[in-house]
Amino acid sequence: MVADATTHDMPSLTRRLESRVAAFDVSDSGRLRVSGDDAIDLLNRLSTNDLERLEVGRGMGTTLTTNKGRIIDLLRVLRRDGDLLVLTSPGTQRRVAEWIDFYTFAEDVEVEDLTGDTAHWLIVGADAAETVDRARLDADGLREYLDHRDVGDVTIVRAQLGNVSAYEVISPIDAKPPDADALQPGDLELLRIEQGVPAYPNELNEAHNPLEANLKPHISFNKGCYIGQEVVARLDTYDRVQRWLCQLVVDDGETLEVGAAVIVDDANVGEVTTSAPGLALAYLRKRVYEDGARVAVDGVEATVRDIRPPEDDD
Amino acid sequence: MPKTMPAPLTISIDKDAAKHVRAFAEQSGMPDANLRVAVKGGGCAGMTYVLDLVNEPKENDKIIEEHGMELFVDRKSYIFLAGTVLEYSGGLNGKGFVFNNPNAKTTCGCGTSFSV
Repeated sequence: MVADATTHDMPSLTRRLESRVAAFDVSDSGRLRVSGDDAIDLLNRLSTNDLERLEVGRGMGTTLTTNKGRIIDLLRVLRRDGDLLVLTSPGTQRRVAEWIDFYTFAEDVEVEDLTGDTAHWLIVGADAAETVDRARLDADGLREYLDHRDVGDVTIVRAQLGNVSAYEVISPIDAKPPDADALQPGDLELLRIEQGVPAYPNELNEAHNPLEANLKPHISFNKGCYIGQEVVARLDTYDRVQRWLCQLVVDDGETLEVGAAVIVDDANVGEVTTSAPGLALAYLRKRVYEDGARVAVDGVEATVRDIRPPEDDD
Repeated sequence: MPKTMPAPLTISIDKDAAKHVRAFAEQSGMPDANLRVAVKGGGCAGMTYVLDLVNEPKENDKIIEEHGMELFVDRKSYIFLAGTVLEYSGGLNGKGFVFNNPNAKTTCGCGTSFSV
């Protein structure tokens, strides 16, 4: 389960958002329009999730992986009537477009980078749906993660940040921002840490595979081959994953240094990847990964929170 | 020490493989067909081999004649296939058509995909 860390002194941003609404400008993330008869087939062959099942109006998270099963980026693919809108991490859109282009041989696939021509807002909080409705964008009916709808030249997307429900609005670059308090990128980073959500490049990078990064819900284990599938399937089948991402609740609200080693019994068992006062994300070795376990970083003690996704029954 | 000879920059099919292609073409009702040899993205290792019986080449295809048949290869696939010899592994435990590709740094467990 994903824990909401509220034990440190400052009230958590997650808790504050239970009674307000906030908007984050996330326009620095990438937006690619991928079109052509073979667009879904090609992306399905290049990434972890079963995109062939994707219906118009729905979306899916899927990870681009190298042939060694390492993470290039976590994509969110929205199927629209006639094309795909692919949302990338900030700054990765060019690499993702080049990756798709490299693997395009005879396929009918075209990639257009919309990032510079569009604005992108994340609306989070108790009144997020009302905020969307006030802008006459109609959040009604967008029930599942990444359900989306085009209203004129604006795309509205049902989103999720850990356990926090949200909406995203993708609009022309000169459109009016949503009617909500605009928060700073640092606040979004804090919310992300509170919700245990991995991000590029701190947690999502070529040093790690999607299983370590808790991206298992975005992997199909029966769709057939994709680049890196053999490695990812073997890690899962033979229980060979060596570390997972965890949350650290740091004693006395101290701020850990990103990149610092996590220590248990004088042994290096992990590395801090993202940090805020009193809270951090870290990769932690399997043998010490346990909810409530105590670890130390640069002499500061912290408690491990297990933020792995629940296992599917099927 | 003798220098290692670079792989020839062409794609070839051995006599046995060509015989099996011709047999498959006849079984498929395309006795005059030739063979499209290509690569596509995907497979565990990154790229997958593609074989297809076709009657005509596409514009800009490279055309290679050998053992009485023609191989059609698109330009981008050719980059990753140059030097490849297409062979046929028959019998009960055979693998069918086998690509001996000098550009392949790794192959997946089943041998149908490769990385460069």
